[in-house]
Amino acid sequence: MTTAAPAVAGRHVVAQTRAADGATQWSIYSVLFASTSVILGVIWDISWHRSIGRDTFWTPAHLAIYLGGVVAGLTCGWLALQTTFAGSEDDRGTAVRFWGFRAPLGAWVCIWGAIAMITSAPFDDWWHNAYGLDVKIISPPHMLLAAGIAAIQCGAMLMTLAWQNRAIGDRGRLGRLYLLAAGLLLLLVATVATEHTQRWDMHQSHFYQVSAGAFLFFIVSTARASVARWPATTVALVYSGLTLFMLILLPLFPAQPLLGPIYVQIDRFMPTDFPLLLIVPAFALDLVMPRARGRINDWLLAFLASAVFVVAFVAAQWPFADFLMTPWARNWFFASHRMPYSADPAFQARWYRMNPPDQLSLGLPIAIAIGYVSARCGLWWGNWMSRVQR
Amino acid sequence: MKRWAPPAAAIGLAILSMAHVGSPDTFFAGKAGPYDVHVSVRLPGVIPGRAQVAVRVQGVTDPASHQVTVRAGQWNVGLKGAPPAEAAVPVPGDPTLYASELWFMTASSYQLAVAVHGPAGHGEILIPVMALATAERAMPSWLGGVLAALGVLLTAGLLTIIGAAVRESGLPAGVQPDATRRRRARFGIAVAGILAALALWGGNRWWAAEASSYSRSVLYRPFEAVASLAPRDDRHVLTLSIRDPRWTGTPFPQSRYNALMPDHGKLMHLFMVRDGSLDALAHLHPIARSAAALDFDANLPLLPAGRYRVYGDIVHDSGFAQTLVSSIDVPAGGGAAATATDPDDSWFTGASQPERALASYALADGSRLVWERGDAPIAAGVERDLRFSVQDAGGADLSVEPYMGMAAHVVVASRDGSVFAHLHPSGSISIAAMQRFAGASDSDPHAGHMTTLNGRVGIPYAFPKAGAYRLFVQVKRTGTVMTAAFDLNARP
Repeated sequence: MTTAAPAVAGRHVVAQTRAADGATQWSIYSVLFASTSVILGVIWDISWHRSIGRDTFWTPAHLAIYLGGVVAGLTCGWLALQTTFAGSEDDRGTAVRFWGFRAPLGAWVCIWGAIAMITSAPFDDWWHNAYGLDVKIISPPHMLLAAGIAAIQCGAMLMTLAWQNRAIGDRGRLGRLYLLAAGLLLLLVATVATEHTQRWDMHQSHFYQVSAGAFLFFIVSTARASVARWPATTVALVYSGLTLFMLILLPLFPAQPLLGPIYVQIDRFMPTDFPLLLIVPAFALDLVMPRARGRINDWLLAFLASAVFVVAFVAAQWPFADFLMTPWARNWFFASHRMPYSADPAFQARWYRMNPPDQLSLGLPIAIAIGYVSARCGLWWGNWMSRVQR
Repeated sequence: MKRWAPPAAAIGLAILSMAHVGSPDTFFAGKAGPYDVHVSVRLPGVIPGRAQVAVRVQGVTDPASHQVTVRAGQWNVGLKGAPPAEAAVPVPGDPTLYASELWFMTASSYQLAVAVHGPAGHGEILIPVMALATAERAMPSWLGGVLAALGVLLTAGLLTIIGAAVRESGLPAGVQPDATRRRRARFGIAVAGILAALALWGGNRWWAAEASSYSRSVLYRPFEAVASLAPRDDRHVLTLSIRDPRWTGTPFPQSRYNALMPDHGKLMHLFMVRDGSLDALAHLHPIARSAAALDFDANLPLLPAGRYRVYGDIVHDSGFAQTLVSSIDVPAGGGAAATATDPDDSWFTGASQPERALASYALADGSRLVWERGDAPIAAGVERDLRFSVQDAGGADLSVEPYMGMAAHVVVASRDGSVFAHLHPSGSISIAAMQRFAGASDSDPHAGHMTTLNGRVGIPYAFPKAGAYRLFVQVKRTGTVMTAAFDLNARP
């Protein structure tokens, strides 16, 4: 049924007004807390495995991850019940239907993520029993967990996005919350991609192909749907800031390897790798995209964005990779000297040795092509996100 | 009373190294300094995984009076690269028993340091442990059902969310979706359904690839080996040939499959067990045809015709021991009695004695080999000592001579061929690996595995699965190796 236009407009205004008043925004802060808890827990857990090795379900890192899942699931579950059974007409009007229930779209995505996280737990436990403890990030049960985490972060982003898009008042504050949520998602993507973005590969095509494919989608889509200024730079700042925070924080705490073989004797938690210099191509995209909008269509814009991203990223990351190999980077801030206990002698010998460039004349154009697909999909996704109201 | 000893008392002797088939757990009996210890390491089946370690310190009456720790270091890094020692905690109800868990992260050879501290001082022993992945586990049906249900829920939920996103998420508050949006939503669900199906298919392929990689790279597989028989002069030569891509003849020193380590001067210890009847056994020591150690030749002894299981024990310098497995058909008149390749070669044909509380086997020199099983039947998975003694007709213990350095060799062969183990009074461990690890450390290389011949022997072991087994027990007296055979049935 289509409602008459004046009535729609009236209710819309009410919904927009409520969106800005902050009285009902606790759920947004709650899912943002969940999103933050989950990703910081993941980074902590990876450090745990590189520093201590042995773990149980009850490590603080695991608890941080699952706390995020529980908080997001309970918050959004309550939101769904409240909206369905006790919500006002406005509440239901800004919700979407799901098997007879009503809640904001982002809430359903968060609930889906919480269930995926719960599902991954027995799957991962069985995986360990069947194939041994997996000591890598990318395995099927871990990817299901990552999908759940990504869904929670994506749901948090969609919830902030819908409020931003509906709001008529404080759009700037909601817009920044949306960028924070998007930055947390970018941090997850960068974390999952870690195995393919190691510093000794930063002169090789594969590094830039993975980066263009993985990051452009999220940066471009976020920028397209944002109402704030410098959106790409902001999400890159969120990613860089939180990574640096964990990089500096983790080694402050003692840790002792409890699994062997121990090739490197360490006494501190392993930090994360220094953040990729995504801030540089993100800044370049913020310069280019607003100026290009309306002048060229999205097909051309995607190509332009990809070319700008790859060129700017190569220009920044290539020399920075050389720097990370020098003794100047072996300190508390850049932390390139921190090795996991499991780095065997062959690995240690390669620790400060850059893999030589491969066929970049072919590899970088391929990176731009991959980035083109990523950016074009990102623009589609961003266009859709900019229309999300519920 | 005569005992199992030469006149010179307490000769420390070692036995050949060996791996096993279908029997991956480690059992050890020996000394940690002043303490008599029994140690068992029950593997988790998968690697990386947690093994259960049990240490029995004989004679302890108050568990609190002793502290026991265990620590495992991979062969190439030793204890310097091992995690901190784990305390083994007393097991309630048995004051001599201490238990702990140890992580083994790689399917490789490890040295396990067991330390005991008590009123008699400090004692420590290094025991070689093979951390092998041997289990291929299917998902329990109930778990499969739960995960499938959750998978269906997640997939249906995902499609519903996508439908809702396309249909309603872009609408202003309160506006109902029109027919066009509903149609788009259905289209979106269809596309998402296809993508979800592709994702599930890809995930399934990925899972299969991971399982295949585990089977190929982690799951224990001994080198592929082929046994063959060829006539040479007046005899037949049995050749066990290693044909495996992991063994090219130029071993890589850093690999667990590095050069073979001679054990008592012999690179391979080969056993033949007649299939089906299990009434014939040969214990041979073939010679490597070249330095590449790809083919090992041994003269075939006098054995009845039939099909034989062939087991070739080798041990690498890493301490990684493995048993090569093959089979061979021996023709009638194929072997010869007087053409042994090695003076320590031995072979046996004969009947067996059924298990009893006290089973006795008549040896060729008139003595008896007695197996004191005890009243309790053998139970699968339960560790116990296999107790043997050689007695005269009056029941007095007789001495034995060392046979390749040991008082006795015991071969365990299951009737179905799935289990083969070669044991000795120190248990199931590889003594060559033990000596290698002890040599790499500052400890006495002969500490802990010294086997005296002045008493009865008790060999720690747990039959890995229920079923029918035959035990071959070999001892040496007056220069002659004699073999006794016993049947047993390990109960579930």
